Amino acid sequence: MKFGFPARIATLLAVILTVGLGITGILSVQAFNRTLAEFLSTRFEFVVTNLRQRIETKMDLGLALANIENIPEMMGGYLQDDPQIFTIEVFDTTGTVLYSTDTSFEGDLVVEQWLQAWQATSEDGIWNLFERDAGVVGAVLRDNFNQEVGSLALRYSRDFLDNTVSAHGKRLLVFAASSIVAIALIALFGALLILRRPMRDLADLGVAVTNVDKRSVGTPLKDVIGKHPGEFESFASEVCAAQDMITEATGEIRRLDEEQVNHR
Amino acid sequence: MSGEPRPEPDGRVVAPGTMGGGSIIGQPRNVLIRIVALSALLLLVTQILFSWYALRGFEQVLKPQLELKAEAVGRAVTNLVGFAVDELEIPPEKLVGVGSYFDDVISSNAEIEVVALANVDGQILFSRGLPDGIRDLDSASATMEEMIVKVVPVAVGNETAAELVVGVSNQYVADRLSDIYFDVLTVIVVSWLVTLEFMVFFMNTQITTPLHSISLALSYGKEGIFSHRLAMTTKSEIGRVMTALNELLHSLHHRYEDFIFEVREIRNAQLNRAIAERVHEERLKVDRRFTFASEGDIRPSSGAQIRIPLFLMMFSEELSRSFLPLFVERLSPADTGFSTEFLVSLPITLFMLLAAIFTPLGGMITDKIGARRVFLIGVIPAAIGYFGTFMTLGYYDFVFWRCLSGIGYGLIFIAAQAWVSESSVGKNRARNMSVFVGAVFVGMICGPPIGGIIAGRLGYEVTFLMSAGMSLMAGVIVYRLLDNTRRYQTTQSRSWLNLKVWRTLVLDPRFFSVTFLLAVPGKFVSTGFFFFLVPLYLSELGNSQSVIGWIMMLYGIVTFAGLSMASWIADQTGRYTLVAAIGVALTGIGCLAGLPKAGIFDGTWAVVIAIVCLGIGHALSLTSQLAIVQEVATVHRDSIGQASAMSVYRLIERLGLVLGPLVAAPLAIVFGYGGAIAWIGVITLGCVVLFSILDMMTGVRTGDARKTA
Repeated sequence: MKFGFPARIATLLAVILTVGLGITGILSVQAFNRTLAEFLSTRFEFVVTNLRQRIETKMDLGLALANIENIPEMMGGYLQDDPQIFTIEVFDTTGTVLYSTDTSFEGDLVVEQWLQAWQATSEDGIWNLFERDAGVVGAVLRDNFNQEVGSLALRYSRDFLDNTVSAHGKRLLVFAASSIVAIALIALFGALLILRRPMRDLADLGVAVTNVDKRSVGTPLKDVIGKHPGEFESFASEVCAAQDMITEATGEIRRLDEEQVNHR
Repeated sequence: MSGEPRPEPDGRVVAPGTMGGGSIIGQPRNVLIRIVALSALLLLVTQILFSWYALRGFEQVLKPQLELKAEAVGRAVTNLVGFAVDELEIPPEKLVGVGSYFDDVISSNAEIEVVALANVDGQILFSRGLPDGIRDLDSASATMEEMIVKVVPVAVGNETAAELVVGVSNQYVADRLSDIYFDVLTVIVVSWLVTLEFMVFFMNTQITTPLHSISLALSYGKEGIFSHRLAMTTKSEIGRVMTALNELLHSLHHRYEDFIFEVREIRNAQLNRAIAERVHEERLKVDRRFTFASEGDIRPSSGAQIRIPLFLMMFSEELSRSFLPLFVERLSPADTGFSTEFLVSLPITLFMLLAAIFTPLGGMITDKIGARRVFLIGVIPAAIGYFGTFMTLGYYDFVFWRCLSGIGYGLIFIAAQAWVSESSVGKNRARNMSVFVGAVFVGMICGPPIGGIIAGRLGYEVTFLMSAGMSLMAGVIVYRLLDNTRRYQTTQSRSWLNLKVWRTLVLDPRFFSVTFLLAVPGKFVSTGFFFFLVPLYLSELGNSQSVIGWIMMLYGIVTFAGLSMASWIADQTGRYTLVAAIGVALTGIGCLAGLPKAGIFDGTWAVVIAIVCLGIGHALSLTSQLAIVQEVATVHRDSIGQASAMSVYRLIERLGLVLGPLVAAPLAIVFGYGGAIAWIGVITLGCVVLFSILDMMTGVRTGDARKTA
């Protein structure tokens, strides 16, 4: 199959479109990922801030963090309210889990990254980090002397975020792929339509050029070049004139040569 | 194309779509315009549809998340209120500090607009975000029609003690997606421009140039000259015509060679001198009318061939325009004894200095080895520089890599300019120069916003990797497409190296004032204000990298749009001096827009106004300054050529590029970024005032030179 102009134009457009849609897609999915992650984390930030407020109110009454009785119930209420929450934990300054919605964690040490995130926390005392399968939002707990006594940590499912972003990525990929194919086809047909006549003229011109090349001496020009007057006609007529002149001159020198032989 | 036969000027009737001038060979422009328009339209529609589809999908996911947030906030607040009402047994209407707590909730959650606590009868007890005078939930719900509303009961035991209403703005999702809108719009605009560039380039290399070759061969043939062959540049439909034409010309040439051989044979065999002469005369008859001696291939070169490589190079350099000072600031070591501002300005200054040195040097090398080779040589340091910057370990190697890129930039710039000059003959000179200017400005328009987006998302370093890739791509295109067999012609006079030329020009008051008081300040503002201070100041004002890129893109758009208009104004009025002075003055006035405490505009808008003024000012001054230099050269035409005057002017002008960051850095230390911009404006206006005084004193006006010439 000939790889003509329409196919080349369609290919070029498909390549540019692939790059353009690729950049648009990557940028927008990335921005969407960031925005959705922020939506999720601010929601859970609000939950931990609220929980912190309730725990700190208890501590303001003079209770030590390790001795507050209804923290597990409070945390359990939040856990029940939101199915995306995995666990809520309270740990002390050594990293030991004091309370957890999963009681099997109580007494365990939290992972080092949580402690590091807590230590690197900003003024509002909220910290965020992403684990492989979960997001974690934490809130520093302070007693009424403003001393840090521990931290809250809420682990929530990343599945929703990851699955949603991945589903959107796939959706856009399918849309982009079908758009590229569709546009390439439209471009191909559009270019065929626009270039149909010029291409036919070029093909005719190619045939006419070949005909001029293979023309027998004396054949009238119009029989050879068909409907190609104008610049090509002048060119072709000059070519024919050259062909004829060379043929005539060749004939003439042969005649002169023969005349000489006969004369001898 | 009409289907009807039409009369030609000579009276012949020519069939439509034939070689008489209406064909693709005679008039390819119409076909090209249609193809480019079709491509641009298809791309634009698809990009818009794709973006709409993506954003609509995002909105559909994000809106339910807002509802969940409203629910979470509602539950959390009711837990707290419930604690007070249930455990502390405080009646809801007697609660203290609820209003300020609601204030905290609203201020720490941008999407929440209304929080209200109502008793079981629907009477509002405490609220924030509702208009004054709203006392019950029924009236409140009327004002919250445009919001996502969640009502959460405050339970005490099994009874409802109160109700909490949370209203979330529906507009919030759209606001959050506005960042994406900006990015998507940028990508659409840039892809559109890139499509136009590539389509025009494709049409040029695949259609226009080969058709021009055919047209040339036909023109030569019409005159009886069959000595050329067509250099094959395409294997398409046009390529097939070219092959057929080459076969025809080859066959004709072969026929002629046979004839010559026979002439020689017969003539040599002749004893009769008169017949030998007649045989020879037959050959002369053919030779007098036709030319068959081989004169090589027809390789029409076009300035447009360099457009895409130059565009790619400009694009790759402009990618870092919106963040380069910020990147250097991050790399700057703390213990050098120099200020951060100086350290930030140094790589920009060195880049400009090396580009300024290697531009005339590259011009001399171009004279010897040709534009194509110099371009390819320039790609090597440029690409290595970009790649090195991507891999940069610290400040010092960064400076080195930027110096390499500066060398490459200078070489490539002059090589591209030389290629365009070499390809220009008389009537197409202006058109070819517009190809050059067009590529530069499209690169300036596309680079900063895309660079800003990539830097914001993927990091500064990755942008340089893209620049390296694009410069290599430019090299490959030049290697593959530009004619390697071109004869080198001198593109610039070397007499500019002559001290006498310098003395004559610098002592000419008009040349001196235009160059030192208009051109140098113009370039000084470019680097000092635009390249150095704008990214730093906009970042300090809290703008994201994408927004900085967008704002910096304005310069390219305004200048490009204003150039034709500015040349027209200057040509119509003939007052080049006045137009050039107004242009430079405008750049200075623009810088004053953000004059601290006294400026009309503040912060980001002041920078936007200054950039727009810079664009308009440069458009006005650039062409007029060139016209004045040409006039000066005409006055001294006995001793100085146009090219020499232009070279000297260009070299001095680049002094401003080097000075810009060096002067801006200490100004920024003393006055801050906003103050430094204003001071740059003052310095520029000072130069314009000096220029005006000098111009009045010397009394030579534009047009006088033409009269004397």
